Amino acid sequence: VSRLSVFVLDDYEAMSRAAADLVCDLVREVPSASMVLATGETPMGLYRELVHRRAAGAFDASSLRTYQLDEYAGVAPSDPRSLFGWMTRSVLEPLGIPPEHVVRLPGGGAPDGALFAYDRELEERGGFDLAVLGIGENGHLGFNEPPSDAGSATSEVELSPETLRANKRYWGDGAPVPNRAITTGMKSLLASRRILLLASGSRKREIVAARCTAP
Amino acid sequence: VTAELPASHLQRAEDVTVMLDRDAWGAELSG
Repeated sequence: VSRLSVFVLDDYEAMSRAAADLVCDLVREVPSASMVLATGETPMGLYRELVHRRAAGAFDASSLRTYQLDEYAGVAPSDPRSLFGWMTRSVLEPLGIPPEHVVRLPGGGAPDGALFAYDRELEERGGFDLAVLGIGENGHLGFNEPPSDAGSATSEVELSPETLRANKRYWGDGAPVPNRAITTGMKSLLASRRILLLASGSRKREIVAARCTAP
Repeated sequence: VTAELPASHLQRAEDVTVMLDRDAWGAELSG
């Protein structure tokens, strides 16, 4: 890594505000930035902070281009458990990001050509300016599960037992978590001009210490 | 195999900013 910065903030709210500062600075510099945005509990504080700043006239997301990081296979966007639905409710609509600036992943069972086209479109536009990522307790990024290839393309993957267990709380009522998903590949994520990795809570302590804070 | 953890590949990225809360960091902070 050419540049690694580690910030330890007092609590979740402070971390979310610091992350929002970074995003706002970047968008001031590049209003039409391309961003891939994670769902999950960890980045929601950042998104809420951005929504507040937009309401206060301090943040304009109308020129941003956003990409979907990952999605369960076979789950319709209208399903409340769809990651795209979650992103729409928590980020895209409240930030006023125009639908034509939102790039969705192909659905489960999509032909390889559709997945390839996603990576190609991204590459032709110069890649991500920013990737906002969380980290799984098993070290996953997006739904790129271990073992991982740094050059992996956007693809449909099988989720690990650890991820299925960790995500069970989002499904409730004993409904099984889909065991397949689509994820933006490691190649595109690692090629981002900047990566913002957020981690909160003691459950992430071990993986953060092992993988994220040493150059 | 830790070398195969996706997070391990962050070493290859150009510019990585990690933001943590104290619970995720775990160690006592000094200064």
